[in-house]
Amino acid sequence: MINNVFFLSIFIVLFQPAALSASSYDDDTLEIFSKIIPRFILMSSQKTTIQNKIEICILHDKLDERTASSLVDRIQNNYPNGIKNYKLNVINSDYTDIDLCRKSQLAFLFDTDEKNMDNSIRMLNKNTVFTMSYDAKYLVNGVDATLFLGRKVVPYINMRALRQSGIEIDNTLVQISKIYLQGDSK
Amino acid sequence: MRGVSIELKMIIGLIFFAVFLVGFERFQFSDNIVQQFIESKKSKNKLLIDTISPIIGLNISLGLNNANAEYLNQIMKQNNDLLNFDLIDSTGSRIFHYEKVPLIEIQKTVDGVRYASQSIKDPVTGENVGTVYLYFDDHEYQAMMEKNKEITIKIFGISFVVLMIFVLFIKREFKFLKRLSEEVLQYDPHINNFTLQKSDRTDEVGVIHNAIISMVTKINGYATLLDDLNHSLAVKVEERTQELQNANLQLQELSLTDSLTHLSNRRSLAIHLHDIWELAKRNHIVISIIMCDIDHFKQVNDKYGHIIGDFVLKDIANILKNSLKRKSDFIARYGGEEFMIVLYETEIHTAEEICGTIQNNLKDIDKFEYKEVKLNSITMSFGISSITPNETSEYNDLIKLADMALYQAKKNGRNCFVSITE
Repeated sequence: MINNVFFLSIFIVLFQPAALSASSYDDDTLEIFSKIIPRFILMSSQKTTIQNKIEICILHDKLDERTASSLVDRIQNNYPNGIKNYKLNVINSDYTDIDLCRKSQLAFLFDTDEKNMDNSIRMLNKNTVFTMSYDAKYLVNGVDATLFLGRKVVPYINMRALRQSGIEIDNTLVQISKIYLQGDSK
Repeated sequence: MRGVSIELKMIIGLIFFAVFLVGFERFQFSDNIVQQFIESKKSKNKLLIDTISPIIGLNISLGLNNANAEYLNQIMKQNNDLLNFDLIDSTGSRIFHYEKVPLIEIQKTVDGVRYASQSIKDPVTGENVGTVYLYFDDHEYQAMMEKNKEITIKIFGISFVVLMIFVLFIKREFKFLKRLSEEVLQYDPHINNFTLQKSDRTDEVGVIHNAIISMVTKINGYATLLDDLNHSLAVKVEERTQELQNANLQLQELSLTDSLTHLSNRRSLAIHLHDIWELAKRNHIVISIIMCDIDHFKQVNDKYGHIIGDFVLKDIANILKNSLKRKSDFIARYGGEEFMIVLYETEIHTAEEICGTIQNNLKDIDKFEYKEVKLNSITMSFGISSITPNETSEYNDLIKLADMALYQAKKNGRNCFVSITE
């Protein structure tokens, strides 16, 4: 009996992150993200930086690679011909290759450790890349936007972060979004 | 009101008119408020639909259906006048519906007050993603319209009634003046047919009315006076005319009558002869004349004087006149002691018989007595001529023949007659 409990504990300690990770991304939410990501670019000042294609960077840890790929697929499925005469170029990148996202208009950030997140956001903001995280908790770290998953799902916008990175967004977008204020509980 | 002056009446009329204008202005003001309300309502509705459309469009495009539903629910709650809401996507499927009142009970119009709709565009791509239909409560609008209608009816009703009263009053005034003018136009001073009496009115119309009546009374007086003068003048004219006619008759008589014997004179004889000569010529009738001369009349004048001679002439004239029986027989003093008898349609032997009758009548008078003068007998000589007038003969021919016959009778010893016929 003691041996069984011991092995179970060992199993939980070893596989807990993967198990948690797999269950923390909701398909419906990802679907919403896949729809709003290109539109957020076109409804912000980021559209002025578009050369030929809209570049979207999906940043993830190794653990979330499949989920990230799934998001890329969703985006491409939702916008097979691009959007508003723009082709979409979705880069699926590990946080370690964050430099690939330097010229992107928007970077979608899957969960990662706090430090990595801070560094990534800092680097992306420095390059005026619109940051959007899956989890709203990263608003504290200065991510520009995420989704508010409450009774209703609405964009969640960090105005302070946007101001700091010098990105402006469309008024209509602001109207439908929840505005993150410093100190909001997540 | 009859005592109120025209000036005051005009002021009252102007006040009524001003009331009407103010009423009309009030109506326009009220109408403007309604129009402004309508425009305001339209603007508000448009603002609402313009505000919500991009958000709805964005929510649809982002796939935030729950957020959309909550947003629209919130909009419905915030807008009390929004009764019904329909959001239809581009395929025609209803995405969202909210109704406070069933759509069937809402009058669907496109006036922008009760109903508004707009296509929903994707704010990013501009694609049509659906249509939104809004139905609004318009009871405020209806209430305002009803109020405006009520005010309008009241204003125009009252103004109309007041103006009609004024118009009727003015018409009555004109009727009074019309009757007055008709009476004046039909007035004939000879029959005095002016029937209007003095008015108690103290206004200008009353003053004019009474002034006309006063004038008519004066005209009546003058007309009577004029009639009397005319009558008097007519009588005088008639008298003068009669006198003139009498004078004319007298003159005519004097011009045609011998003043001593009262027989026709020579001028009258000429006229008579001329007339019957033409008549006899046309009818082929014989005319005889007897020229008579008193024998030795010069001696009577010389012996007893002309006064006695005149008495003799008068007596002889009467004898001659009485000797003629027919009305058509004509006798005239031809001159001095000569007389002429014209016998129309008389043969010479009849004329001779008449001479015989005259001689007998002269014989029947034994004495001619004139005051103390007594004449034993007076005889006459007669020259008779007879002609049936034709185209070549003249009545002077008849006289010449008679004259010749008289001359012959004188030559034959007087107191006889000689006949000459053509």
